[in-house]
Amino acid sequence: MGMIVSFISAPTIHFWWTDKSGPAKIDDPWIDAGKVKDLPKDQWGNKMLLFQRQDRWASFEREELIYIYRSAQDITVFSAVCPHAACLIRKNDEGFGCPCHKSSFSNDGIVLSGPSPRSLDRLNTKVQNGRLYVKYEKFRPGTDTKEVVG
Amino acid sequence: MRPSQRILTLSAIASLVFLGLVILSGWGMAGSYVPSLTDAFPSTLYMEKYSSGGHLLRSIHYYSSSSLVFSGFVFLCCFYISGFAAKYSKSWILGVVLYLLIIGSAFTGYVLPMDQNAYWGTKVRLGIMDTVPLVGTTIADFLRGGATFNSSTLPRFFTLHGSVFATAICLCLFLLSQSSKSVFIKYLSDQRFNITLLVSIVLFFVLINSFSARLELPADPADIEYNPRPEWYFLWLFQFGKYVEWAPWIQSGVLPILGFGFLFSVPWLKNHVQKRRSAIVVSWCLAWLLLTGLAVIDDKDLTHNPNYSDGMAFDAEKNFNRLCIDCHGSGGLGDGSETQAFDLQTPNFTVSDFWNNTDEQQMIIAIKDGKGNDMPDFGESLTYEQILALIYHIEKSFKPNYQE
Repeated sequence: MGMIVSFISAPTIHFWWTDKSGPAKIDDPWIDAGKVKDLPKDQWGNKMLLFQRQDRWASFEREELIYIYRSAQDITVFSAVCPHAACLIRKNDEGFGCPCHKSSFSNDGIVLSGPSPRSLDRLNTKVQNGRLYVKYEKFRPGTDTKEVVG
Repeated sequence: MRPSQRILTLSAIASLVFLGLVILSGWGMAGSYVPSLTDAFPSTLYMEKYSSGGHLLRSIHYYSSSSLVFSGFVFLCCFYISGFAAKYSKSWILGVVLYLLIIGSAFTGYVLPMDQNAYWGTKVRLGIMDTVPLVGTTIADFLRGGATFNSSTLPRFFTLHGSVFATAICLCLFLLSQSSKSVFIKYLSDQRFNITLLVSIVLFFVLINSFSARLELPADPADIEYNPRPEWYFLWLFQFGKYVEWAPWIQSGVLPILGFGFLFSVPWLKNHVQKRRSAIVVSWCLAWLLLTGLAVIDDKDLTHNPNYSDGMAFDAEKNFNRLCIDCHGSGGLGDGSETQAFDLQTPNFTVSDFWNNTDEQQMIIAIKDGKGNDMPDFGESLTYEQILALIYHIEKSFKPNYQE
């Protein structure tokens, strides 16, 4: 009986098991975040990235929040997604804080307190023709390694 | 009959009736619900606001499932207190499995409307599932169809909710009813019982129709301020999770193993545990009450999550101040700064003349496509629902002698 049931359900379980949305396969992962000189200098700012992503058959408008710091030498960009449980972090006086489980991070993204298993996720950036481009990626929450999942 | 047995029979019948209501109203809703990220909310909103019977169906489904969680719990407690768990071990195991399946259906059904509460609540729940030791991430990925919320998530939850769990529940119920067939036949052939049941169901419909199933604004993954709340029967777990934040595996690993371990081993536990049955049930109920109470107290200070109409009204006020106020003015007199600067032909909303010559349809078109040389079109920046809410806001705020 058990054998028969498992054989009958095997194709379904196989399909659900293997059909997963992974990191988006796209030609150009760099998303335009505007002119570099429009970014506030030597202070934190935030920006909503708007872009299109494909997920299986569907194409979605996505809006993702990032935090940006521009100094004379380089630009730091953090994803606003908390590495603990994927809530959105907020800027505060000492750095960043997550409202869901009270993780707090320094301005360098390092965990100061709370349950977050890793530092804030820093995103890759490049500057081209005076514009900032961000490679927006989602990482698996709740683990101490940065695994790209979307 | 002893009182506990009377309650046992009553809660069994109530559970069956609620289950019937849940399944039938679910079929009704499945007739117009679309499980996709883009259509789930609009199709739910359509049912709630614009269809003829959808509101009642949603209310029946929502309140019956809550009642089912309650009556099923009462049934299991009475079954255990009466000492039947050891005597009829097979029925007990089936009953526990049935209850877990009901909880599973509640869990998977929560996300389907795709409003703010559904989206954020499910994110939190799957986050908890991610923390289950060893297998958590695999199970959560399997349910979601990926590591994040994606286009397969809703179809999968819909299938589990309406098909997999529902079938399993019916199967369990069939097996369970085999042993107590004679009891049901006795009740169903009793004319007085049937009439009482029928009248109660009709009363339930009438009562439930004046309440609405929860529906908030559409899910907004970029909303930083949102605080998701679980249903009342999950509040205790939510509160418990707060106390063990430093070690989430206690909530997602130790607690379920202890809980399920106890429930499934009850028929074979030694005598001294069997004798303290009432004490065990009472202490669990007290713990439940305490945690739920603490959760309610904690929630008092949080901002209240608005339902759909309140949220849209608030949104409309913001939109008016953002888009309309420069010309139409804060008092709707048509005396905004732009109107004065460029001498525009802006109508006055506060005179009855305007409302006598304008109907809702004309206003929708004017906002969507613009009007004359001065009124710009907002069809790109506002959805149809937002336009309706905006018109409602204008009417409520400025129309002379306005009545709801």
